[in-house]
Formats: sequence, structure tokens, C-alpha cells
Amino acid sequence: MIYWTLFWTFAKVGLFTIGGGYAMIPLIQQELVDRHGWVSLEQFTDFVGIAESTPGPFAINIATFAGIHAAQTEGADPILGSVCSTGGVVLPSVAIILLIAGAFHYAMRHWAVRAALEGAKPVVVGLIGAAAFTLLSHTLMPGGGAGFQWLAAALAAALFLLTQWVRLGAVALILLGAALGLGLRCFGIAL
Amino acid sequence: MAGGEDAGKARQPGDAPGEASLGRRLLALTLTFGKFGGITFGGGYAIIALLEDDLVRRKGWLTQDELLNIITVGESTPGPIAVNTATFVGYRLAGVLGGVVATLALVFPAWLVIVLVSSCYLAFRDNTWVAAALAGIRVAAIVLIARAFLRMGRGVPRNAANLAAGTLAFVAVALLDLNALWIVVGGLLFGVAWYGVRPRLREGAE
Repeated sequence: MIYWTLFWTFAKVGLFTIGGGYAMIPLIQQELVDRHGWVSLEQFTDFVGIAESTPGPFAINIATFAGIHAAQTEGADPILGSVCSTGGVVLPSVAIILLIAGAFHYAMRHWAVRAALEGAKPVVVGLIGAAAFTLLSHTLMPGGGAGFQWLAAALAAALFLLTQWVRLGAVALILLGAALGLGLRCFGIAL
Repeated sequence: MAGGEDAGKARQPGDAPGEASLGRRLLALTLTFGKFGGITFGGGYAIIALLEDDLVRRKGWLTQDELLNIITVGESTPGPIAVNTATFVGYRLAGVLGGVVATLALVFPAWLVIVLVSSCYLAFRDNTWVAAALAGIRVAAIVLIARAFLRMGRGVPRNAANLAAGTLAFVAVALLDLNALWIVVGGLLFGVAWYGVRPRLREGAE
């Protein structure tokens, strides 16, 4: 039963990867390419590229993608296949978080829990800074023969200064970024 | 979930949706997380930046402390951070049903986009207009996350220990490429060791 196999495969992926969507890549690759042979390694590399460049959380995108292709390979309904894979990757998270969230108020009565969370605060802020730094360095120095991306650097600096002066919401900022990318493309300039 | 005020810290009053009816809260969660699921991309940190801007700054549904706690739990439990955060925020605002609704709202647009592009993903990938828009969004997302970093950094008490812990976490992930899980676990242990000896947190008044 392909639907059940997809659900179970991705529930395992959701359960055994901690620390963000990208930590899932090796496990998903192992399951899809090596174990079930649903997709080739080239296709999988394409999946990762597409999942990175489509809206939505990376883990959801890649699970949906893999579900569609696995179901197609097995001659099953791709939409239902993607529902099973995406549902599978999400379900362990939801169940675990609901349990923790339900117990959170009671746990916070204990000083050690409050102390632990207090200690994690600066660390989480550091992680957010690291995410910005990593994304920035990958964008400005993509490697593979491409040099330093001066235009992207200038644009990032300009957008940052703009947000310091003008009260700009997150959605407006994202849409402005898309508009700038398209606007530059109109003049034949690739970001 | 508005209960449990006696335990730990209560949510700020203001226009928090805790007083609104369950239906209104669920609708608000659907719209908010549906919007996030449709516009963010990449890892979970863009979602965190959106939550900080929208739920903490604009709507006041969460305090920054609550958001940091939710991220800590999301980072140190299995699954995608964006999903963990959505479930937790949904639960805080509207109980178990809220957690499920927020998660579905987050997942649905992402699922739909992939279903739509999957049949023509090579054309999608090679389209220069799509690539141009995505490159622009990527730059905006960097600015968004950097801004969230600066804002949240201001909210953390300024002392040498916090500065050292934050810097260490930054270096470990940004430069040494260590798994974020171990860094968060390290932070939790650091908290117990550092604040454990201080009577203020022990007494209960945070």
C-alpha cells in the first residue's frame, strides 16, 4: 500500500530529524533514493533546489514533492500520495508540540525549567543571527565561479536602511523584494 | 489556551485574542499562518522573523519572551521548526484546535504550490522571471531575519553571560556549522547552571 508506506516513511523523517528542515535532507534522500528507489539522485537534487525556491517551509515542500513523484512512480494518485507524505512529516511534530504545550504551564512552575529557558534565550537569538549570516553569505558568495554579488549586497544594505527609517511590515518587505527582483529583470539585470 | 494564569507568566492583556470568541481566534490564526505559509521560503527562520514582526510587534498576541520560549521548544523537539512554532502558537491562542488549525493553515499554501508546480518544475526552475522574483525575495528575507535578530537581541537582558552564550551559539552555527539542536540543548543546560544558583528564579517571581 503506497499511501501507507509514504505516510510512514515521512512520519519517520518528521520524528527523527531535530533542528530544522535542512537536517531532514540526508534522511529523506536515504529513504527515497536508496531504500525505496522512488526517485533518482538527480531528481532528488532537483527537489531540494525547488523546495528551497518555492514559498513555504522547506520540509513541507520537499515532502509534498517526494509524495507526488513516489505515487507517480508506483502508478498511484499523486495528490493523495502528497497528502500522505506531507501529513506524515507534520503529524509527529503536531502531536509532540501539543503534548508539550499542554504541560508547559505546569512545567514553568519548576525553577529549573524557567532557568533552562532563560539560558536558551541568548542562544536562540544567536541562532537567528547565524541564520541571517548563513543566508547572506550564500547569497553574496554563491561560489561555483560566480564572484561577489555586489548588487545583492547593495540591495540588502538599502532594504535594511529603509526598514530602519520607514515602518515596513514583513509581508510588505517580502513583496518589495520580489518587485525589485522583477524590476531589475525588466532591465535585463539578474540579481 | 488562556488558562493557567497562576502558573508562570500570563499573557499581556491588550488586544490579545484571548478574549475573542473561539471562532474569531481560529479565523485569525488561519489568516495569519496561511499568509506566512504562502510567502516565506527556506528554513524556519523566515517564519520566526514574520512571527516576531506580526504577532509580537503588530498584533501583540505574544510577548517576545513567549516567542523565544516557543522557538526554544521548537528547536529542541523533532520536526520542522516552522510547523512546531505554528502548532505551539496556535495552541497558546486557541487550544488544541488552534494548534491543528494554525498548522493546517501553514501547510496548505506550501502544499498547493508544490502540487501546482510539480508537473512543470523544470520549466519553473529555469524561468528567469521566477528566478528574479525569488532572488529579490531572498534578499528581503535576509533583511527580515537580520531585523528580527536585532530586535530580539535587544529584548534579552544585557549581561556578560548572555552576550557570551549568544556569541558562542552564533559562531558554532554560522562558522562551525554545528547542528542547532546541540546548541539549544547547551543553552538549556547553561540556563540551569547559571540561574540555578540565583535565588530570584528559584523563588518563582520571574
